[in-house]
Amino acid sequence: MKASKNTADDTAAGWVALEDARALSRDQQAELDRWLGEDSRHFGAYMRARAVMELGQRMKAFGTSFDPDEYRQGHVADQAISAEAFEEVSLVRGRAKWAWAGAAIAACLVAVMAFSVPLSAPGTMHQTAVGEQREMTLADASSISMNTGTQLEVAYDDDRRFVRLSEGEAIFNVERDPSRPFFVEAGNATIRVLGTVFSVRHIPGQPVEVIVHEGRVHVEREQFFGNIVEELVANERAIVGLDDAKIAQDILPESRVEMSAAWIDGMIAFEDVSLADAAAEFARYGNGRIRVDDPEIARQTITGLFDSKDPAGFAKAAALSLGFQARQEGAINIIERRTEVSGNR
Amino acid sequence: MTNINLAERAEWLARYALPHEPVLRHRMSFWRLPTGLEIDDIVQEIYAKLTRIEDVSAIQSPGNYMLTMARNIVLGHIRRGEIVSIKALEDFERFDIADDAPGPEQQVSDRQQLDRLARAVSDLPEPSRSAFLLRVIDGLSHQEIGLRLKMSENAIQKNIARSIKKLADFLGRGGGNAHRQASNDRTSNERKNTRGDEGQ
Repeated sequence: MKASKNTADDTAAGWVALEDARALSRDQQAELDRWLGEDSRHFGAYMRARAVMELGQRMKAFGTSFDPDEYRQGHVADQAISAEAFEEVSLVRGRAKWAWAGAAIAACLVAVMAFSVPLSAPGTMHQTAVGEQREMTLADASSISMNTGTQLEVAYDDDRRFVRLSEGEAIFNVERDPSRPFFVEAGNATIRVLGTVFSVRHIPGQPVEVIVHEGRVHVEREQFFGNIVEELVANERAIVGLDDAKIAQDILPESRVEMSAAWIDGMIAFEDVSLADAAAEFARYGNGRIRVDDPEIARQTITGLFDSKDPAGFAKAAALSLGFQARQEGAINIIERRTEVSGNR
Repeated sequence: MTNINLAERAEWLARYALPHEPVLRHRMSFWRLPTGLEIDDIVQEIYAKLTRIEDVSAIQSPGNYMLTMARNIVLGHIRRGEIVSIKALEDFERFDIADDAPGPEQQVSDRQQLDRLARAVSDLPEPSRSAFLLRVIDGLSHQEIGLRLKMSENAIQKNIARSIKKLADFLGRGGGNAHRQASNDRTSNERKNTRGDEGQ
């Protein structure tokens, strides 16, 4: 690999950067064509550089707040926590196999004291329809942003603030009030805070997911023998499994935390999520469906930030990047194998 | 290659060829290559061939396919040599590639690849890193990036080129630790400063 010998990679990178800057002039195009035609290695180096630039576009998935220094550190931290556990969870979204397989999840058990509070008086019901998103402010100036298809109940009294998230996803921005802790009950998990910002996702049939954006949060999982409680701080995530008697935790880079709230801006963020799961996620928002009949295609994964109101656009983009085609049948977008067959290899 | 859309093919290569390059290069590093043929040459030829194939969808395991291509390129090179040495051909087949039977395809998940990419980008030296990130994440034009980083448009283009070259090296060669350490020493607050004051 003597760089002095083969400089095609450098030259190719230069051409791809020039093409990235602006459309080539006629002379430049002629010059590029001449160079490409000169040697098949030039052409190969050029395509390789284009592939790298193409791959680089996927950095978009991290969002504008991506911090490379933080990522480098975060990457080291991730490995320290548990590489395997990290692999198991398809980040941000997705119904992964919740096989924690005894992975070294640093569970910090802070208390074995139950703080579940049964809801006595009926509270006020709030819900969003499919495709609807709403933010509301409560009596204590705390606010709740509700994502599509979310149902919750709010009950405040003198010594506690209580919300039951029976279904859906919400971000809670809680005003600090040490005299009245704020509780969110979601499935088998109860979250207790004093004042902080965090999100809770509770989709029936899936583990409850809690992500802390700011401050400190306690998550408790109901159990027969002594409930378990975990403490989370900013950028940490807890996953309260359905059957697993554990609260799995990991640390997310800040950019991923932000990505998890993409729905506030009407977007859906996927990272390595199977098309089947992506279709299920889009279905939560209404606006037409995505259908993937071929199980092999359904297993393919996708990464990116997509408009939640545009499943057709998603289907097109996903099909293009995975080498399939998208076809529309009324409100249904079908991702399938390409129909035209060409060539033999 | 009339029917081949280069943009689509570049996307295919990014997804299916690039992830297999480090393993391929590693394997080739054990081969005794004929003089005048370097690993970089072979890799470039593979990309050229992969672009000229009309329908790549039939390639089931790109890693093994690339390995076979590499082998054929080397054999072809030996055959075309000035003095066709039967011994060289035999030696290559017998000693160099005998153990290189196509194995089960190494799977690189989408997530792993994205993570590799993010690490590679994070390790770019400044100001290339800022320029590249402003380009691909923020979608700014070279001119806009130039204004932001107080550099000429031409300098931005050079830095993008440098980023592409370095990313290709990192991703294609598996991103060694040496690379990481080398860039850890660099101060890299430049981008933070330029992007940070947008307010988050």
